[in-house]
Amino acid sequence: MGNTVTKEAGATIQSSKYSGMEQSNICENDNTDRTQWHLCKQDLVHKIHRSKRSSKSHKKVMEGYEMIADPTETVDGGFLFPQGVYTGAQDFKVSVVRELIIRRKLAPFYKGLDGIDSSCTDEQLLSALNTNTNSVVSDSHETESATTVNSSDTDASISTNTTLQSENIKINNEEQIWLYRNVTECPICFLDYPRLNNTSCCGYDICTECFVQIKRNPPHPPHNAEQTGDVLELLSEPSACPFCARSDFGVTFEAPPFEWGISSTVDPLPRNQKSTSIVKIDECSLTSPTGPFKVTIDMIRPDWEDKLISARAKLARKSAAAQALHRSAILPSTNTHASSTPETKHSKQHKSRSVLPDIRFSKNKPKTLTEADVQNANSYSEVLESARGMDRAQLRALEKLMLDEAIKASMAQT
Amino acid sequence: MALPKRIIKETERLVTDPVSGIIATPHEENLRYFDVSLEGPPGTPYEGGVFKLELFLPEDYPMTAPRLRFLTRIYHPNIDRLGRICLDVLKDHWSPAMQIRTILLSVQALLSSPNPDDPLANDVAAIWKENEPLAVQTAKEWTEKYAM
Amino acid sequence: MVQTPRNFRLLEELEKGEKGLGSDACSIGLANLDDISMTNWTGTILGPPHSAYENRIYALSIEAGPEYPVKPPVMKFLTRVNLPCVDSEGNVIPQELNALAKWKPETTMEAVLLSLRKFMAQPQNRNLSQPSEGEMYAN
Repeated sequence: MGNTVTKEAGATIQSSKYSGMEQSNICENDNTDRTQWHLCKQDLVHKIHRSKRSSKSHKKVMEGYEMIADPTETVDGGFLFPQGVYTGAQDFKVSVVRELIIRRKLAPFYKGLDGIDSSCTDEQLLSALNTNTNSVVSDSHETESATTVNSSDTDASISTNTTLQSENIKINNEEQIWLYRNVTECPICFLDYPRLNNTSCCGYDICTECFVQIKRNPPHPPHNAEQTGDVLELLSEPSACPFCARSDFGVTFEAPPFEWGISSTVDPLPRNQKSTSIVKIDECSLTSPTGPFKVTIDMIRPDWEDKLISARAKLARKSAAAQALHRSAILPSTNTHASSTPETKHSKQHKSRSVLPDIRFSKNKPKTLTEADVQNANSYSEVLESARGMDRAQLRALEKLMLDEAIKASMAQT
Repeated sequence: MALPKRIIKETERLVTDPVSGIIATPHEENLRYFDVSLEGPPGTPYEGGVFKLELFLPEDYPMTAPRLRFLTRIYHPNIDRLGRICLDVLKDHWSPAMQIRTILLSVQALLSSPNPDDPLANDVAAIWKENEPLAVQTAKEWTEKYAM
Repeated sequence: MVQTPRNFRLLEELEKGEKGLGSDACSIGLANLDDISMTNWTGTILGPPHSAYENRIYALSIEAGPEYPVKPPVMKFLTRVNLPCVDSEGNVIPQELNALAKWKPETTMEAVLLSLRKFMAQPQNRNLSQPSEGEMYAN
């Protein structure tokens, strides 16, 4: 039974709207039975897996959701997947976050309340909780109507989307009231939550919804790259704390004195999908009695290193291609280039030209070096390989192209 | 798409608890787009001027910084002729814990302490370094000409 | 949908060009870097290979009006060209070019230039006789 979701078949969902629709359709005749749910899930996983195979190009945006969030799963009155505070693509590792929440190392995704008056009645509180959601299970129309409702106007906002909520999500009303009677505002999304994480460096509150949005800066050249000429050395620093800017950012979570929903002692992953590669969390540190466990951004986005490596490779390819192009353009005749300003990409090629080895061209293999060749070439040597086969006329054409570049650049400057 | 609660609340708080010398008003047809007016800080060549800026909160705000630009011409080494601002907190030093309010205060602080060593307007920065009194004088003249 | 205001949208297009992230075959730039309204732009198209336009650079003026990008930009060739979607004074006739006729706010100025370049390369236009190189339209 439990082996319905494997890593390989990892369903990837980018759009919450899509997943919401799929899930609600499938679950119509489901009666919230977990066995049924898993069957549904399997169905869905296969469906998505098939579509994934046919559209490989989407893979990049979608990775992260390699497991489907099950809307019936709750931990201490919160959920295991985002509740829709952020609408962009979710690119954190869902399986890692799920495990961290179940192990009570990260606050669950509670529904964020929007400034509910503490004097409101229990009914008002409950209706606010049920309408305030943008969650993955609600359909986009409901989301819109629910979020545009004025916060104080809770009576008016007892709206349509309680069906799915009440059928699929079993959080006891009394528990909810008890939880949400004592809330704290997250200083980033300004919504109120029953329990929050704390930054390990400066102790600030932060909800899980906001925490999982924080990313490393994308790979970038060092700040003084222009001076040092070190444009090829891309860097990626760990995310800094949003509050105190210290670099060793991470959060800790103090588990509540009660345990509702999924127990922290069960294995969060069904037996058959327990694969070492899914979750890279050090088991020892999870259970270590020494101090609280610190969750970092790199833990929930373990792909940062791959991204850095591929960005560096891409830049190196691009640079090699540009240099080869430039080199091949200037070799046959002497320098006839229009000068251009330091901001243009043209001049960057110029600057680094001296580090190139000499290239000799032969005429025996006429060939045109196309843009595609340059972009697809996997290495500098491949580009050279392509350039070698060109004849003089083509080289002249290339030279012209480079000249055109320079003219374009200078026109853009005026 | 509905406006995130954070943006609604920030806007409300800007109105109920304004920062002195700064007014930010959202456009009616686009509540993520603000008209800003900012008073030149006292004791600077911008004193007495009121500078117009425009500010936009992109889709992933507050995870990315607001976009901000001067609409009033200003003579400053870190602001270019199109009004673009070179300020670290608008770029890689942005943090989601900052707000519209803090970013506008940072811009005000930038007017008080120009940094010609990290210029955006190269010509202005060069003069600022070679002949500061002349640069300050020009900044004053521009303030009178464009911001009053 | 979050709607990016005109000015920030134009800044994005400008910065894409400045950082060299755009196409190699076309480019755009501000006509006047002091123009805070960012209305007047210049564009260039590198004539497509294997056509009468090959190895020529075509310069255009582009006007991004106050309602851009809801309304399309107005484009005019500065370099003389013989092309069915361009009138005798160099104006690009919006109805004749898909990118302008079916304008969507997501379309960029660069995308229009690229579509003009594609138009040049179409079989029926590829071999049209062209004015001698470097000739410009009178203002």
